[in-house]
Amino acid sequence: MGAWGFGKKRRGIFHHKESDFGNNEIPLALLSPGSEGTVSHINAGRGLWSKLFGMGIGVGSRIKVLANDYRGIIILVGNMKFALGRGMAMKIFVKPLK
Amino acid sequence: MIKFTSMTCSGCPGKKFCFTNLADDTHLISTTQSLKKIRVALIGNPNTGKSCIFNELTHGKQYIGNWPGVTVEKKEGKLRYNSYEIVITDLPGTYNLGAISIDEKISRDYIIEEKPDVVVQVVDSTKLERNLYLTIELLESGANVVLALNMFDQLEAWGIKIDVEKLKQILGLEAVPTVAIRGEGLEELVKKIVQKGLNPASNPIPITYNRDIEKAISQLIQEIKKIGIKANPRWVAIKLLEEDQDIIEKVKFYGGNEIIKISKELITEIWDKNGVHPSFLISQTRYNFIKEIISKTVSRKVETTLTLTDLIDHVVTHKVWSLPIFFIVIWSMFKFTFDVAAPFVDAIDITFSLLAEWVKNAVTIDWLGSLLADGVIGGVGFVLVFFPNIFMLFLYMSIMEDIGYMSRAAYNLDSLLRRIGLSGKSIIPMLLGMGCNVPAIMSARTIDSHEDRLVTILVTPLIPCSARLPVFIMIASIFFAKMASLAVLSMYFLGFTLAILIALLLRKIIFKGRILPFIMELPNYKTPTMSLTFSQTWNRAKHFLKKVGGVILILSIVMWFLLNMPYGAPIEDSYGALLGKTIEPILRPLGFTWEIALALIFGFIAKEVVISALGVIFSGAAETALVSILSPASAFALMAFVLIYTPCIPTLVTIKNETNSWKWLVVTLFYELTLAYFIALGIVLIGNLLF
Amino acid sequence: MEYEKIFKILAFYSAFIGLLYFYFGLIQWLIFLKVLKNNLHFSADLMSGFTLLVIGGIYVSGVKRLLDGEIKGLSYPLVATILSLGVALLFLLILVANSIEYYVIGNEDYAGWTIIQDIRPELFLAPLSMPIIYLLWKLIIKEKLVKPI
Repeated sequence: MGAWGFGKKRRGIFHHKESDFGNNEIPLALLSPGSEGTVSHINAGRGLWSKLFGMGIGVGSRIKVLANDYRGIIILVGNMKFALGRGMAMKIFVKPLK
Repeated sequence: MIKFTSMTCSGCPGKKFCFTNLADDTHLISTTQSLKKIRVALIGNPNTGKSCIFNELTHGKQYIGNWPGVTVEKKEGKLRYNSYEIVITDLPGTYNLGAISIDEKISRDYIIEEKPDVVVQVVDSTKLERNLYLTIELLESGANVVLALNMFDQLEAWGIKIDVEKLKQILGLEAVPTVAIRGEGLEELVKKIVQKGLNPASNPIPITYNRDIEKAISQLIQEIKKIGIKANPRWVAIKLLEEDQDIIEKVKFYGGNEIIKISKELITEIWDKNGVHPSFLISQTRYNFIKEIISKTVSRKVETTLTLTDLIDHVVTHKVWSLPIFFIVIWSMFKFTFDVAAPFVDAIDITFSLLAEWVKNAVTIDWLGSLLADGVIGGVGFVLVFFPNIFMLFLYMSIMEDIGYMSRAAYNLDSLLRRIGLSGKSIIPMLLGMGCNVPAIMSARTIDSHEDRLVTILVTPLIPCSARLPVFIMIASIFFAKMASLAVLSMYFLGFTLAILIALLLRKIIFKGRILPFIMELPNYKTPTMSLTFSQTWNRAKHFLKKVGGVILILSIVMWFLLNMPYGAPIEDSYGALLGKTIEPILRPLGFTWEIALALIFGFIAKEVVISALGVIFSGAAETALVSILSPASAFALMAFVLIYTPCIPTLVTIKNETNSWKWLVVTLFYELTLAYFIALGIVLIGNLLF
Repeated sequence: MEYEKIFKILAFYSAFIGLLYFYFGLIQWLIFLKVLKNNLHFSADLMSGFTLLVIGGIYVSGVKRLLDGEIKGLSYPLVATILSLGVALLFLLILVANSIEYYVIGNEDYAGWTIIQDIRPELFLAPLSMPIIYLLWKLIIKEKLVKPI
């Protein structure tokens, strides 16, 4: 989590450790820039599933986080780049890759 | 008999084949030959170059309209190839055939109900795995699919190779590599379209779901075949298991209530057994199937170097710089739309004024001359005067969209504006509204959410446009002397505050749409294709004129009638004055007289006309007259009233046009009149209390 | 390799051009706020000053990264140059439009307009970015340090 550069004051939600979540999966929103993970679970309704799958993000997709701040997350899936709001990023669970 | 072959046609020099618009037959040798019609639907993910292909095939001549009942743009065009007439409908870009957003609904409905002969899916070859999801859904729906593997030239830059033959084999469809911006592969594409159009062999898609689902599908197919629904039964079964609300409605419509019940039971069964909703399993199976196809047909050199796009994005989506850059882009749009178009606007203005003068002098019958000059020519000129601004605006927005900036802007702004219940892109119309409401409202087209767009359109007229400014300045300088600029500034403050408040109100009360979670693709930056952009923009602006022009013209003539009849009578005796006097009692609490009411009616045409109207009504002594009639509080109230009361005719007509209904025009009219009245009243009451 | 030298050149030049933009942006604001006198009859408005300040700011904020030799440091001169050229193009078009108004149409609103009024910092500072364009081109297109997509 040290890559944040927010400074000691702004820990907020970022003080969770990966082991706090069961199954070694964490919401995408909590991955720091530069880290990667595979999607393990999508916590959303049908409409959202089909939208994500249609865009190329499904269980098993390998995601790399490029940026993460108060606005949302920017990710790379293969050679496709996406911008997600924080809300959306909290619904996608990934297994981080070391 | 004349034979048409694919040789250079004199009408389209340089083009390899005869793409003509059949409405413009001037260079055809013979038109007596009857043509076989092939109907094609063009579909694909956003950012695949679909518009470019559409433009190339229809040779830049398109009909742009609206899909019935909604505000989404519909494009149609024709082309002739040999003895075939190919009619192409461009469907909205979509990632899948679910029916969540309007774009998806339109595309899906068109394919299922209109049953085009061929569906051409435009694919970004560098992102094949994502694009194939739509392909699978299309094949499952029974569509006759031809793939246009567009952007084929970019594969090299990405280090990707595609085995096209194998792809065709596995999926059982035709696929043509194309590079639309260079016009490559298009003839081959057209050939395949014709081929497939004549021999619609619908191949069964070799994808099977898990056993439970397949069993459920077979069971449902039996039942579905019994009702008269016109879609592919297997596809309907799958959609029912996915709990697609649209299809459920349609099945019910055809009397399939029993089927719905059965499908719901099956869903629960599968859910219990597998732990997830069947729609998830279905999507996942498609996804895995696609991964398999890709592994067999696509090879990719995985490189991890940064791209130019990444470099640019580093600053454009930067924590610090993203918003300032956005403001610069918007300010530039403003200046481009108004300052660069100015000479054209003035040129048109002067031309029509001269024309009107000439007509007035030339026509001997006085009232007819006035009607033709001020009513008709004035009306037409009035409409055309907007054209340069609209053209520039569309051009700018089109370029921004094309180079890929718009998606970044949406991301940067969305998180902020979400908190006020507006979408990120809503800020664009609101900022543009300071120049003129008409192009501002049209710029709301970029807003994806239907509800957000509607709310934005309804609120934009509250933003003080440049036409209201002269009115503010005049009143403020008469009544507020030193504080004049503060008074004018307060109008801007009032306008924006009201816009935000009303937007919040509408969002909370009337348009309770769920705020969709935000996800957006960020395509690579690219240089804009100017010829495509120009022709698209020209078509769009032309379309605006056609739709808006007629109505504005009619209303201008009505206004002329109100203000000039009975002809020759002084202004106090015109029908308009009569109307003003009738309204006066209502306006008296605000401190307004019938003269002011009449001037306000004039303002209906265009807000800046209020000033010249006051000049005419008071025979040139407007300032002294106003001072004697209005108290300072009433004057301020008048400013607020002019700000809010009703948008000018062109704006109203634009609202009607953009929302595709008269309903919202009427709503805007009424809510603004009411709001204006009460705010003005409030100002007068408070003013009289304080002073 | 050679890269280090180019990065250093870029860093210093970015600092130079960034400070120039900053300076002119500040002048625009000061004139607008009536702190400075507008002897040359510059067109000075708030947003124009803002634009210049932002472009200058972007150039300057990239200097450190460029000195460190980070590839991401290239984004700053890249984007700042794109912005400056875009804005320059815009003002060129406005210049042309205004000239048409004055010379061809003879619009009274434009009486007393001179070309001077429309020579703005956005216009005359833009050519200064030529060296940056050349260096970036060399690094990206020729040396393929970054994928030109």
